Amino acid sequence: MNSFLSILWKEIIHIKRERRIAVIVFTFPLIMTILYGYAISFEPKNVPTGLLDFDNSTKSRELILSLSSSKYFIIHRVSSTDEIYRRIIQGEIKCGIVIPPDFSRKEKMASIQVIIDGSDPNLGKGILKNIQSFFIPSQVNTRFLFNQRMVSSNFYVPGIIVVLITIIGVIITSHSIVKEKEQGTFELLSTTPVSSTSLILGKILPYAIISLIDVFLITGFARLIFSIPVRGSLLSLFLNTSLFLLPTLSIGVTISALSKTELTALFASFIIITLPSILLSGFVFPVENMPGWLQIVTQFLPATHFLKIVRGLFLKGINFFPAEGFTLLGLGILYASIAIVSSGKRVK
Amino acid sequence: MNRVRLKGMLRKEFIQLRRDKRLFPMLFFAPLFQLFLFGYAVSLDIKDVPMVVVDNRNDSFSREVILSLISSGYFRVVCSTHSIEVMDRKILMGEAKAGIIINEDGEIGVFIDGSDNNAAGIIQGYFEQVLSRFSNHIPEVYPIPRFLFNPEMKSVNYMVPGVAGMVILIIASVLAAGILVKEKEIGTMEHLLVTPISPAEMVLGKLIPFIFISYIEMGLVIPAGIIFFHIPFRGNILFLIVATFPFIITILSIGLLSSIISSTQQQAVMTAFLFMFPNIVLSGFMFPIENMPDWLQKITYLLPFRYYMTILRSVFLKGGGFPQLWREILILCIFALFFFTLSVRRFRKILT
Repeated sequence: MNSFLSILWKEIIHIKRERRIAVIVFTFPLIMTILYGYAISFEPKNVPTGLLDFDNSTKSRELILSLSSSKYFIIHRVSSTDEIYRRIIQGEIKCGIVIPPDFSRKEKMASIQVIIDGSDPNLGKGILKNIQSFFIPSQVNTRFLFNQRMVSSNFYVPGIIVVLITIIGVIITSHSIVKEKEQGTFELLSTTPVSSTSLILGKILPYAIISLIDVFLITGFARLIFSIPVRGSLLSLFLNTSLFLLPTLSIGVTISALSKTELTALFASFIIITLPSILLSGFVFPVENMPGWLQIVTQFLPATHFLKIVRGLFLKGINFFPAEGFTLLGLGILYASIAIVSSGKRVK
Repeated sequence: MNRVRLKGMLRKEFIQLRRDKRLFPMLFFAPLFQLFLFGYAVSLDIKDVPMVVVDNRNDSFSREVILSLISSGYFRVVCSTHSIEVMDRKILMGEAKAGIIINEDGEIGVFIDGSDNNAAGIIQGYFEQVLSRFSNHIPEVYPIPRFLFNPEMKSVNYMVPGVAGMVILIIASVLAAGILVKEKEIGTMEHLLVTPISPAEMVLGKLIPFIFISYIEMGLVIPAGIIFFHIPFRGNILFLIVATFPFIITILSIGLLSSIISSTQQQAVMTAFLFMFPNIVLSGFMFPIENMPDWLQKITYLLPFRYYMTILRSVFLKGGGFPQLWREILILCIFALFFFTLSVRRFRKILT
């Protein structure tokens, strides 16, 4: 116990001395929250749209007027269908609307042709949805639960918190061990009578506390800037974050135990944790759409489960997550044992 | 510029590259790993939406409504109930993403979990599509859509060309960031300085091997994307190779620059990461630039990756060539020239 405390104390002194940690822990997440918070949106607005009017009647002109006054389209008049194709290929417009000559003669079901740049399918579908809802008034009485005004940041910002904490937790823990290896002080530590378990725990604990503080800091910041609702209790957030940190920081320890230099550790954590946490956790792309084998892989990422917890807690006000909590605990035990075994070997 | 000296420098660099054991797994494993991750993971399509049915009417009409929802292939029923509370709880716990209530008077109400607003919008569209049959309203105007370049609307077709660019972005900038500081760290920089090699020769000698490597990466990712994900390639490969050149030079020069201003490898890589991150998030690679707020859209014009992304996607999907893409190429050339001269000048300063 005593040796554990002295390792802990030594680590705290290290952290106090190193300014870079403060940058990683405080400045980086704030910049990333703003960047991702504003950048992620799949709702197209102000789409540059080429418009070709063969009808040229009062009715078609009224239609064009109402199209250009909506926030979804910026209308550019074009003179031929060829021009629409050419400008879509050049990327100047994303879609084209063609009003046929018989448009004003039809009372009902007057068809107009819509040509959409499909190279980005998500954007393309969004544009089509806007056009359809513009012309065909909704027939279905719909209510959206938990996010009535359909604000996209409400969905993505909780995910940003999860991804950032994953990245930061892994980077700072692996940094703390590999640095000692590079400077040669890790050998010194291993000659002291400190057991490898208390060495690892003493090294992890301060970073776990920093990561916990960071979660609340980013949450507060996100609330301030994006007015994210936090409907669940903060105590539950605290407890669940602790559950999440065990497997995450253990991965950091394992990476550092297996790599010789900080550069390798950084690259390994980028490939093993950063990229999968962004792509596979359900942060942006729904897990349900992935092929079965990939869905199994996602279950081994702590971020996948923590993401469900954070979203449920923020948006739906759920406080208890038995399934996700137990999975995190199980992953925690698994990864912590791997971490202890792999770093024990290194010390010998 | 002396050809013999440059040749010698190049030989030294290639020998060093060959000896670096860490490099090769990184060069081959990393790009393919990214390709498969992006290829399989990124899809925003929604299928089989779990739905709760509250049928208070229970006659042929309501059964037909439910049947047509199921047979559309978009929905599956997880629970049939008469209680709205049950439906609410199922949606709250995430077991269902939507609920439909059919009242005795035939009125239909739809509830959708809005927490993922992108999915919610798509689910709403599915409901509209299926349920419009049951309303007697005929729309005045009826849009007939046609999607160009990617008629099956496959996300991979859009993402995989981008991965080719991302691989170059990550690997080239990390490699270039590491290389000069490495000589500083192990002390061989002084050795190089006493040789008669000029700064330009040295920078070129350092860059040329990485230009090769970047092209090899591209040669790895593009065929793999075409073979495994059946990505169309409609443009000219020769044009793409030429158009890639200013992008590679830009990225390598920026990597070199961060190498020059740092004293350890780690600092250099961190600096390169700082440059990479906004390039990945804001280039339109994952999130459409069109949907960002205006001030953020203006920032994206400063990112070289944005222009290269446009080139890649246009060449793959639209068959774009010089007439469509000369602007992007010109801008990349300006970036390349700017960062290359900047790094050579900074390098000269250090030497003197």
